Amino acid sequence: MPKWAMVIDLDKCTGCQACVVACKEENNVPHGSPEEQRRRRDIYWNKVIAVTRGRYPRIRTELIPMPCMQCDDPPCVTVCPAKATYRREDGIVIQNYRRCIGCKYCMVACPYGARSFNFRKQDEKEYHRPDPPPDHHSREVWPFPVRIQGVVEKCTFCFHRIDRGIRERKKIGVEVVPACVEACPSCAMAFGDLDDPTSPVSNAFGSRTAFRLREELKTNPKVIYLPR
Amino acid sequence: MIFRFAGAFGTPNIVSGDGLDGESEKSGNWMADGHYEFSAYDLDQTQYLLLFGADLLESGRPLSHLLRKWGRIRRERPNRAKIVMVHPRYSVTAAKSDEWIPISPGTEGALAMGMAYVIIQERLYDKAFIERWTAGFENYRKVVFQYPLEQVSRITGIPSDTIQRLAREFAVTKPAIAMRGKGSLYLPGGSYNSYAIHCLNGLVGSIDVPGGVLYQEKPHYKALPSIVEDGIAKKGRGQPPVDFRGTERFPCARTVTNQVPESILEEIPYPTEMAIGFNCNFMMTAPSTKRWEEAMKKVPFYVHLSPFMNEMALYADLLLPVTTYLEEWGYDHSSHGAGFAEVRIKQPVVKPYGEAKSSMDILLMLAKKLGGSIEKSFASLGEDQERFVQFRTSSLMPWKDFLAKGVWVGPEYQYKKYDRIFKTPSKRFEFSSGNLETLFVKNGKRRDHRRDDRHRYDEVRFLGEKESYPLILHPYQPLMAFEHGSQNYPWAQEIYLPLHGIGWNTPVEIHSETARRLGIREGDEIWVESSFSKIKARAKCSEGLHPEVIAIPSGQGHYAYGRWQKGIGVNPNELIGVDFDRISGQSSYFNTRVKVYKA
Repeated sequence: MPKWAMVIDLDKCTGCQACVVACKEENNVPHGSPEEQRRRRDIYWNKVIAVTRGRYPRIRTELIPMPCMQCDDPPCVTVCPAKATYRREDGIVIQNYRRCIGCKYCMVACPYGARSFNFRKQDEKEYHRPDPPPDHHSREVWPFPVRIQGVVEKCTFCFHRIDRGIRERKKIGVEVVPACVEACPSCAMAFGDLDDPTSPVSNAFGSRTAFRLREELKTNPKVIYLPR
Repeated sequence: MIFRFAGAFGTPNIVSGDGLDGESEKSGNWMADGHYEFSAYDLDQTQYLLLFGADLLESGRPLSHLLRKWGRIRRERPNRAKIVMVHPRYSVTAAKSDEWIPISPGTEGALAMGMAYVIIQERLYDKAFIERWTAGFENYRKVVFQYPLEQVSRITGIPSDTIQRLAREFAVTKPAIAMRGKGSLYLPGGSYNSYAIHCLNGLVGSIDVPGGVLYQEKPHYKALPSIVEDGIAKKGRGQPPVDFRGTERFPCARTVTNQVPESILEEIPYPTEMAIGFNCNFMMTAPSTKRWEEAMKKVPFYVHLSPFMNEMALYADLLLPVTTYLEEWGYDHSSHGAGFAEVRIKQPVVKPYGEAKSSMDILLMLAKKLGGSIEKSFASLGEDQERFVQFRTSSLMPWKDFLAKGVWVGPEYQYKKYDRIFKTPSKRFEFSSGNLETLFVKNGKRRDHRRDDRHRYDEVRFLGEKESYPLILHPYQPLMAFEHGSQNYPWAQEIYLPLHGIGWNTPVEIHSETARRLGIREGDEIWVESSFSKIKARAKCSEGLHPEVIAIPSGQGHYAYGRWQKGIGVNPNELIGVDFDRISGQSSYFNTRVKVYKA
């Protein structure tokens, strides 16, 4: 069984946020509004955050793209009372909207803030996209054509792309990658199988400088960063 | 096409937005090497990038090229180039660079001279290149020696040992590039800044070498037949243009965008009866926006072509919806990309919305309706946009292949074309500009000694008195406001400023120490007032800003343009006083003093 992982090279990253927009487009994640942003209720499956340290003129800001870390020991799965979130065999942590009771325990448990709660009413127009982009018609599954109010949602590593790629015997990580990886203009992101020693992610994982966020929590995230 | 239409119709008044957008870089290049165009850079092979206010990752152009190359420079080759950003504001580019050096606003030209001082004094310059392929070096050396390190350090606020280190790194790490950007160009003396910085490239021999400054190759499109002019067109074209380009006011300017409202309001050189706008929104993007509103009110008949209802569209007597880039045919080449020539065509991927037509089709139809010489000028170009693109690109490759590939790439770039690349009187790279000399002589300027230097740093004329307006306004363009065109996308709005995590709004960035002195806390509502106007917004205290600077992102503050952007944020361009770079006609943006107080 493969073990899917992502590498984000912060040295190559330009902070352009193409990954954020690509994710929203691919997964039909609704955009927010001024009011929602004020109340921190806007939904992101992937977001570029800024961490600033130091004082003028010695200041340093890291811009970090934050998808779900797809932990190998995910705290969100442990706390879920409804078994709505679970870890697939290939390591992807999935949220089952039908089982989710909207208790938000997982949002509290997640040390990376990767989860969002859907506060929006389902009948709002933006949820039902009458004009999905043309190539979506040709796709077998577009997993989220309509959205569900009152559940927690998060990044899926674009499992629908991977599953389809495997069915069509395509090379995952080369021909098929998540939407954010595909969109990155500076090629700062890579995707692949950690169990395959030739994949770019294994290569990066073996690098001296590679790190993962909050490693001390022993969540074993599968998003690997390379520092600037 | 628009130029052709203007020519056949008979108007000299074709004003592009270039006058807001980096004309002073072109004029600086023209002074040094005779090319009135943007420089291309060989980013693939460079080892050192010194950015003078060049926000490559936010407002740089061509943007997608730069984003890709940034990744390449960083970790796709064995040796990683060093990138240093000199800028009053800690931008995304500064955050992603190896070093950020805050500089007093508007003093980039002085820093360039100071660096040249160190390079010349320590004999680190490229002697072979300078001896064989440059002119005016002796004179340059004399001028540069008027800028000793301590003085430059005082002007720029950068410690002398930092300047010295920068100069040594820049001269020794080969190939190195000094790049200019909005921060150093959009100033009343932008051309001189641009020239001074470009001369650093000449000094270390980074001209037309791998990893240096390149001269963008142009594709050879199929030539257009010459315009058919009738008597009216000839007479019309002979009139002076409304933007005073090429006159004594703007001696080498090709377009002076921000002069137009004054010309319309004061009816100089003649009253304006009609105007057509092609997808422009100067009312938001040009400094001192109120004048544009008054001028547009005054124009008796205004036709606006645009895919969106922007502010200019509100003033239109006739509004023609045009297609977006995904709905039309077109061809394009990079104005300054990777050096080699390339052409790509765009093909429609979605059907136009409603009755929208492409600007090209509208012009062709208009020409047909007008008849006479105008119709003749457009007769053999193909009857619609697709045919026209086909006609223009027919010299490059067969249409069928073009449709399949979408791009044509020219021959590989040839380096070191020194014997034919310089278009200056001496046919060399000029440290003492012959082109500018000729221009001054032509305009009958007195040969005054200071002007004769050609290299100088003038203190920027900041508008407003220092006593009452102690801070300097620094408007900037975040990536999500790309060319002021993307605020009507909610996805762009919500992630507007990644450095601050702010969307749907315009914060006023203020240095935290300055804010403390003024009794302003994070999130307070404050007024920012210049001697021209004032705006109210919330304060964002920041460590990444020169203490004398107030930074405000542009792109918001619209009163039209659809529901995702109407009424959101403020527009810093309202505050700016009108001033120009006199040589190129570039509008200056960083020339206004402001004061800040609690609302």
